[in-house]
Amino acid sequence: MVLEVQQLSRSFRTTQGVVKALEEATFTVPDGVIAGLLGPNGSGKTTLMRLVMRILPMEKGEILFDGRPIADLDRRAIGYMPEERGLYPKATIYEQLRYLLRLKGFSAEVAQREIQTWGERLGILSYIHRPAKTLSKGMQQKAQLTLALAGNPRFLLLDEPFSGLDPINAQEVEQLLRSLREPGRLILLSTHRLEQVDELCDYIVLIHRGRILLAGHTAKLKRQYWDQRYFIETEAPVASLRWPEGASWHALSAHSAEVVLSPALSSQALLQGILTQTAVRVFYEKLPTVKEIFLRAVQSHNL
Amino acid sequence: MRAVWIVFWREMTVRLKNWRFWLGTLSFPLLIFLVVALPALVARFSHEKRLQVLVAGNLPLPQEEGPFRFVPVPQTAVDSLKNLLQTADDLVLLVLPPNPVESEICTLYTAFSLSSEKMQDLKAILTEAFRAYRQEALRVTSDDILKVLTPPRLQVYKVSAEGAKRYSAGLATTVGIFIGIALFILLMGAGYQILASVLEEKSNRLVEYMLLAADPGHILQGKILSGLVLSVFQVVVWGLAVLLGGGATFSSTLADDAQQSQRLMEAMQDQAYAVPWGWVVIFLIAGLLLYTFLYAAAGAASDSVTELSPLSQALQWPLLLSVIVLPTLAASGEGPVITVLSYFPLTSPVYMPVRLIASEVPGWEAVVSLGILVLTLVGAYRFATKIYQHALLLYGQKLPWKAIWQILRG
Repeated sequence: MVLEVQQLSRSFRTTQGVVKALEEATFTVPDGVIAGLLGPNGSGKTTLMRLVMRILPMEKGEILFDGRPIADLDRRAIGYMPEERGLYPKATIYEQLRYLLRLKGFSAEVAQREIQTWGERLGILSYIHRPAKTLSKGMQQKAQLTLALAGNPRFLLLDEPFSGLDPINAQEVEQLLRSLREPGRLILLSTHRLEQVDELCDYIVLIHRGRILLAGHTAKLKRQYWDQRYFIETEAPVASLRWPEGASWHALSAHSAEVVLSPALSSQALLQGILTQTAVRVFYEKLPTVKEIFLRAVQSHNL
Repeated sequence: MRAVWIVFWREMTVRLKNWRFWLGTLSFPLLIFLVVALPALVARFSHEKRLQVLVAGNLPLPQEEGPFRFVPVPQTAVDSLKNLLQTADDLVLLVLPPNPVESEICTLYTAFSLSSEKMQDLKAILTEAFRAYRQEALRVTSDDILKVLTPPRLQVYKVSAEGAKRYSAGLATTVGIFIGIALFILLMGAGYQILASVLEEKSNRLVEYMLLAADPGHILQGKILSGLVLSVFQVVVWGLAVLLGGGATFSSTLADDAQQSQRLMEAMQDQAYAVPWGWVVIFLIAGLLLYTFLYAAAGAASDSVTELSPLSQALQWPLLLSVIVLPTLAASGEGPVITVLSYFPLTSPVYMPVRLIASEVPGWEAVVSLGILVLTLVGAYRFATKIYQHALLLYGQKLPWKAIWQILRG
């Protein structure tokens, strides 16, 4: 499943006047990836997700799934998890999952089966007959994930899936998402905590103030934004070394440093220069984090 | 339609499982029971203390009647008996006039307080005794008295192609007022259920999932339908309580006068036939739908219960005003105010049925009023659906009128 967003715009009238939530957003997310829609709070992520889900009408632009208009996509093929809170506090998890799945178009039998299957996988069956308000945030989040995953949707949208989760639960969710990554399925998640998805997302869409700053495979973007930065750890203290011309460095500890090379200096020349003075324990390319890419993209767009 | 049914069923079961719903529904019958049935039961099984009435005078009184036991005493002993009163708590002294034909002043001496009910009972016994005594003394027959005292009765017949039917203007007003109040109660119940439901889904953002799963119009229809069904159920329960309670009171107060009771029953039956029930039901349903759509929109446009309050009050005013001025306007049944209100869509569901019951209204007027109401209803449905779909997604933001206008313009 390929998602194409073309020239998408949306504005809202508020007490402060007209707010452009999204401006000419254009990007393509390939099939079989976990894509991260990344940006700070208020950058337009939720608006974009709602437009993609059809719950907000488009003002301008186009959204295509596998080259076909979004309206052609069966509601059951979309799994969605809103940010936090999305449960009836007094109803039991089972009651509301069943109700919402039936509302989505699943028969009672299929809804029951899906709840059982995904509930077991996510480990919510032990508290499925308890009211939502008696559960922890993590438990509620898992119940919402069950709802999003029921029916095995081909397109999965998760709005801030790690919000409010403790590290253990966050890791569980992360592992689950990895296990769901497969051809024929597209997972799009939004988050404002960029460091959290650095390893998880193999495709990122960076959004800021309603504009798309960057979109592409994470690995390619990291390579593209790499500034010849290396990590080096040596036997001798880094401060005692003679650094070749073209290498600007700063110490991370007594024996380790981060080095940025000028275009004139190659990594081999650096390594040879250092090896003549001391043994090198560790040496590798230091690729930028998603957060660093985002900050640099914001700077380059003068935003 | 499948989504409508699913939402309808969920809303129904949630409300029916909630003890607050049952408290609201059953508190009124309980009140009726406490006010009407319980006192009757208590009265039935309790033994009232009998009062000894020492009677000085020439009027034949029964030996025992109701809570009284009448004991004749000589006129000469009155002064000494007055002293005796303070020694007993069930003794009173009644001094009758020497000539009951000429005077009707009776004097009651008591050392303790008497309830107004007991005084009324005593007065009724004395009235009957005076009547019988004077009738015999003056040699007047009962028929003569009845003829002198009976006022004229004005019987009204409504003549139509189907014939003439009895009609009562007073009952027409009562029926009109009853319908107005019933509509008000129904709307309050249904409106608040929908408000609460919409606001809950908005605040916990479940609505996002719901809008992905189903058409907003269908979700709204399911909610409105369940709100209406539950309100109708509540009104039926309350109506039954009123009928049972009222029936008990009615049968006890009119039991002695079978003729009057029968006349009232006949008048009510005649009036029930005279009510244009078809119009009443159509206006009632259209009115209910109109208000519930508006309530749903108000719920969606609000961000909290506090913010919701002024909006729901604004919606209540036309109805509340209708109920307040209804008795006055319904009594006349005509005039420019009631005519205007019977066309204005927010009040026509109450006033057009009242006009149809209380006075002669040309058929075209009812049709035009209904047309305006239906057009408003369609507009309200579209308005509510749009607000529901858009405003619900703006959680945490106040919705200014400009934004609402923007939403409506699409």
